[in-house]
Amino acid sequence: MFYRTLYSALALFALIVPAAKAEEKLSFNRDIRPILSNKCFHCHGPDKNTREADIRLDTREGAFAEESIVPGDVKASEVYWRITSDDEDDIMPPPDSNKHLTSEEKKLVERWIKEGAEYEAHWAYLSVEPASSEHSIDDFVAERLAAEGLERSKSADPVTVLRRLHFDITGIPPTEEEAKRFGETDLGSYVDGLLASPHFGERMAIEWLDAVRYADSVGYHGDQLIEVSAYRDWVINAFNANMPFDQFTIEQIAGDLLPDATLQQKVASVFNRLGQTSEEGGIQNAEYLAKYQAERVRTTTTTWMGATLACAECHDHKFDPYSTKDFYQFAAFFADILEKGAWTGDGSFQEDTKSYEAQGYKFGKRGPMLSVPSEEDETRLKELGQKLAAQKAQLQVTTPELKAGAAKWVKEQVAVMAKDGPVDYIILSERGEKRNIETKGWKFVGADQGQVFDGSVSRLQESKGLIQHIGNGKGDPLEVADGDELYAYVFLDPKNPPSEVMLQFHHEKGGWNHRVWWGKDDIPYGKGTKGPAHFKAGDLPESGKWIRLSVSVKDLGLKAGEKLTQFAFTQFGGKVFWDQSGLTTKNEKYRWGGFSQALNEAIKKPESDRNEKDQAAILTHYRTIAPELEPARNAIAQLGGQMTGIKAGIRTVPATVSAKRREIRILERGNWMDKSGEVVQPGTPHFLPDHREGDLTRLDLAKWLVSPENPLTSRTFVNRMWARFFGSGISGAVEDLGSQGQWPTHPELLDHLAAGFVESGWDMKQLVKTIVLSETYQQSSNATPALQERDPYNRLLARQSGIRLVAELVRDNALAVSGLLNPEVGGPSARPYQPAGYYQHLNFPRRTYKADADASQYRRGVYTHWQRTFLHPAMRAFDAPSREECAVKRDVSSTPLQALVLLNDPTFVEAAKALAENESSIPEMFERVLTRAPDAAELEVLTKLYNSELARFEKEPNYADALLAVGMKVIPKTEAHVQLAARTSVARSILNLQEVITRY
Amino acid sequence: MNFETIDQLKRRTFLQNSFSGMGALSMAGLLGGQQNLFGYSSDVDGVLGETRHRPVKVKRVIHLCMAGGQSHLESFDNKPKLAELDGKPMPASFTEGQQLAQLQKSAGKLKCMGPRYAFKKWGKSGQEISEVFPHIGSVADEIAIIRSMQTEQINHDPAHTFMNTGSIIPGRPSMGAWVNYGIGSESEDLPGFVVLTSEGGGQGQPISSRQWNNGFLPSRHQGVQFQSKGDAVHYVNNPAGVTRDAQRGVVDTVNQLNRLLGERRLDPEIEGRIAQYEMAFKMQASVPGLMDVSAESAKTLEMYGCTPGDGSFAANCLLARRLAERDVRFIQLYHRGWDHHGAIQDKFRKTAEIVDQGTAALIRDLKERGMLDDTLIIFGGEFGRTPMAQGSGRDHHINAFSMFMCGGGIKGGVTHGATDELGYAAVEDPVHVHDLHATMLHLLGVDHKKLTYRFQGRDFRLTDVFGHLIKPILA
Repeated sequence: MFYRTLYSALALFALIVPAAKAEEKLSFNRDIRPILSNKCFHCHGPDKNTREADIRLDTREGAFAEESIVPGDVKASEVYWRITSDDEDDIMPPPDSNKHLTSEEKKLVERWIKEGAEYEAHWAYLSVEPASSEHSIDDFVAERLAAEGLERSKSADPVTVLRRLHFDITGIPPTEEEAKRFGETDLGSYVDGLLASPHFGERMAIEWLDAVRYADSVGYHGDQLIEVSAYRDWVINAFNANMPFDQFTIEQIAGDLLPDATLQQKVASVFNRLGQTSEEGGIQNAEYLAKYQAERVRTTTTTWMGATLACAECHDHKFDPYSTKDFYQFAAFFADILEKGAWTGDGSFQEDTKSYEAQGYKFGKRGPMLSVPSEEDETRLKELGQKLAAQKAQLQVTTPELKAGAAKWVKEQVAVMAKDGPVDYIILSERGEKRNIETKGWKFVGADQGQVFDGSVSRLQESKGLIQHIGNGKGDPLEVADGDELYAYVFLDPKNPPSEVMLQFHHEKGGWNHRVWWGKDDIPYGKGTKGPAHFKAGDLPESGKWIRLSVSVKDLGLKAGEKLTQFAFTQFGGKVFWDQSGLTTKNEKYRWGGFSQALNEAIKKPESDRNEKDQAAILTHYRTIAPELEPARNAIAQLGGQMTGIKAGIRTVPATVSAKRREIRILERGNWMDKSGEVVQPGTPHFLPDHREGDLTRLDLAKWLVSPENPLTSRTFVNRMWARFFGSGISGAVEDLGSQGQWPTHPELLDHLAAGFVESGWDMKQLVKTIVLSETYQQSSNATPALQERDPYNRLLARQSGIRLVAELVRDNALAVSGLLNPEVGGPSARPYQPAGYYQHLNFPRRTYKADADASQYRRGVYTHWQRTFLHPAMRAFDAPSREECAVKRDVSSTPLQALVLLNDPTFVEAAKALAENESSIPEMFERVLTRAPDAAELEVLTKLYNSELARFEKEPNYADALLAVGMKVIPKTEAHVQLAARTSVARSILNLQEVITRY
Repeated sequence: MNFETIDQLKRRTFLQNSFSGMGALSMAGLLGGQQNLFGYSSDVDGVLGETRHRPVKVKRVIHLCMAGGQSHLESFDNKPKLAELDGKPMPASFTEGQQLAQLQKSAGKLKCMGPRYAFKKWGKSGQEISEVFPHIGSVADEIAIIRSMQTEQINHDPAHTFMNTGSIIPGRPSMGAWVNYGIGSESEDLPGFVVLTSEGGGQGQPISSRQWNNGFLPSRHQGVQFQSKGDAVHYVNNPAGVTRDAQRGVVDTVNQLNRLLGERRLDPEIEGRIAQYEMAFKMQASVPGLMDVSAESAKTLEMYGCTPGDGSFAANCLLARRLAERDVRFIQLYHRGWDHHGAIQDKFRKTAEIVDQGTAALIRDLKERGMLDDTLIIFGGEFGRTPMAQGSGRDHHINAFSMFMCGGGIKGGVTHGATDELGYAAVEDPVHVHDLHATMLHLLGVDHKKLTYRFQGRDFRLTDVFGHLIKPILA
């Protein structure tokens, strides 16, 4: 059996609630509710539509009505009679329900009724009890242990405590220096140091990102990419800044609705846009809106309330008091979010988006987007902006010299105008942007790199075969007149001339069939045709000098008044510099080189008639060509380019924009096509404290979640945090604090922590510190056999739990100990090595994965590119969720696929090689990884492997070369190459150890 | 009838005596994350242990998924009336108020499209199958055609999710994971749930790995996708410069050190980890062994009509047989090529040519090896296609489509259910996706109502709260 194995204790929904002692009174919530919920509520619970015989047992009133339960009187209680009946028609649950009560359960119900049938409301919906000032975590745990006749284990050894703290708080194992400092520092200060590390936020983010279903792709169908990494950085920064959890909540759910919301608060609210979306052809807008709204309810209620409100989408909840209306009222809080259901041409926003565009939102494939410059970008842009302003001011300075230059230029122009005959109207010169052609992607060179005809650059075009660049006309198309000629200047490299050059012109209506060529007929365009579509003008022009290529418009088949929109410069092979190109024309409209009308008029006037406006027009133009202003112009162009570059690199996120609220109806059985249901307003679940409904917003919802009266939010978060530090929650089902969840092992402790958390101002670092400074946390995780047998899943906390590292930390650990880890915090997602072809089943578009070839290769796992439908195989093997849905609990499996990852994934092989290079002996490698020296037996085993590998590599040095070539880290070949390879094999073994991937 | 073993009874009694006052849920947790106490046995991987609720008809399932949505009108559902109405308006009575996919835009202007190919009667049974499936036709007496399938989801991604998990909410376990969770796998050195994919013949709609996910079940039950190119399983090959012996040395070292750890520390995980390394090492040999078809006879290769290793559907069919021989419990083949929105005349034929021979060869090959009797083959797509034209093709359709089942416990040579005269809706014995699931589990000896998993406080089933056996096709 392939996967036969012992189950991981950590994966479990396990819960031991040892029985009430014979002398102790039963507790309804602990002992009876689970039985009723599991076996009875389905037909006698909150869902009125499936309630049988109008009897309900999920409320006190219901349970005591109709003599269902008569306190103290078993015989009079119908419930007892029903569950103990041996008549098939009377017995409950009915045989066809596939449910039945065990004799033990029946005895418990009997005893509870006899003891007075004290009914309690479900514990999680009751107010949180205030924190105890007398009791600590350790006291609560000790009390329970004492009752069980157990005691706490001794404290773990210092190295284990140190490693535990590191993995739990920063996720990065201790260095030698840290280990030394740990021995010299008091624990509290050491923990403070870890909490202050920027890596704290990264460690905390892992589980939070699972809950809020953060991913870098949209999930449905084509699983296209979506840029949301700025949100992940917000989460990391918020944890690092110890943002209070109430604020953390409000900003994510409704940051955009806060008064004067900052950019970062808007980024936080991207939480609302993280769900899966689809652009599959043929999907219905309304159907997908229904999917998105349900998903938001699932995510929000699971993450903050530990609630399964999702179950009430089609019917009232079967076990908890949530009604279908509660579900849709909750969904209505999110109905203001500007979005489409189908992100295709068929989808539509709830209102016209023009006003949002006017507010500055750019609209991309997933609607409104927010630009999120980094602080560095912002500083740099500010700096450059100041410089740019200075240079622009410089350009505006009017000196006597400038005036004189302008006057001289005007005279030259007047002389040209006075001249009869055609003029050259330049359509392309310099970088094009000054003139009339868009030249994106062209390569321009200065005189230092080649030949220049005019201005400061020409365009270099070089190839072994056909090469062409097309310029797109800007502004009005170019109009030709009879007698005009089109021209371009070329310089053919004498050492490497082309075989042919060609000019092509695109007629605004007729297309590209206007070509002229020189040289050999190698260029395929128009080949074989005669006339204007393939007009041969002559032999290849002379090389080594600037030549003006020209052709009459007549030869190109162009008639007066026809217009050109694009210009192509083609050559076959060789190296050619291309420069000025234009139209030689008598057309008055072009005589002035396309000057503005104001400038034209100013020049035409006699000097004495020019008014201030004319002078300004002349000077404004002259500033763009005055030689003395060239440095300023160049500086402006350069600064502009730099700023454009920075702006292009700025990340965006899909913005949460509050728009007109969509109408939300109760969907009968969840059917999105059914429009008969009641229209509902936003509202909180009806039975929870401080119920509100009406014209409410997401901000109201967020505030309600973190109001001190809310019994669920603090319990849910604290319980989940506890699970992170002990392996399972105080209530074992961290995802469900409802009726079908689990009775907490230490209910008073859970409330103590939850209330303390709120009282501290929702201080997350304080919560972590309180937990890790407890003796309960610091105990040894090494169970005695007796304890293991007594409490296999460590629910009583007579010890710590060994916890396998989460997927991200398995990676971080290997990179950290091998010195490869890139400790940079924040930034775009990273792409580690991944097997080729893994994305072959993705389509729309098809894509190939390209691993990062720079320092990003070695970033922490929390930054790994998260492709929902094809999560990185190493992540998947170690149980990272796909994040298609909210996940608040990860499975902890043990599979052969994990062994294959650690043995063969290049990430881990490369880490082994780097470790071997950094540490020159086996004990040193071992100690770097495990913070302890190997014992004699361990050293012997490793040395044996070293020796056999050394012998193998000495015999076959090629193997050593091959192994050391894995990964992009280059290892220079030295005499000790084979020794290094043998140490790499040893390092591979070490990195595969259970002790390495487990936090004990 | 529950075939409970004595050991299990003892165990249950023991547990009840030890921990009174616990709900079944808490007991379940004790037993290893499984919610079903009564079937647990530590010696068998699946939660049901040796327990089966029904007589076991088959040991394994091979699902040939015609991804993209194979048209029933060009394959298994002959509609002469539709041929008569070719090019004529679709009677509005059929389509009013119905959900359409891309054709939504053309509602009101819908035209019928007649079947593109002729149908023939095949075998002794005379089953009607389109002429473009001559090989499947040749095994017509082995298969039970269902012409009255229905599903709930009209777009590829959710429809696949529904076909695999019985739910449209992402994050639910796929049927392969359910089967392995329930009855485990007998394979010593391969995963219990293997997925192979191929494409060709039409638009290759994306397939998400969600389709073979474990959902909330333990992740060891997830499907493992075998690649047709590169390493068949991710990381199954040694790093460069590492021979099999050298890898053995590394694995031995890891296991020896883990054993030393186990002497100092009581951690049940250590034992498991050692076992996983042994299995990983075995798998490094067994996977290449599985993929190496050089020992297959020329006759076999000819029957499948494939070049081994070309990643084609036929090559995957051959691998499916080899996986079946190696006791893999659930084998799923996706062929991405049936999304014929346009040019259906040419493209359907092309796709049919790609899958026809391999499918028939797999059936015949299993039969010759005596394995068809304990294998269930399921053939079909995630939905069907409209009788209405969408240009030169057909749109997605959920009210009717065809599948076939074949193998142990299934009657051969029968056709079940029927659609209306235009093939628009299943009108006679409609079969829902949940029914397919229920029937599949039934043949594996499992009552679909009794295979449950507690998640978020609810007992989930593959069939949710639905599912009926398709009795008429059961032998």
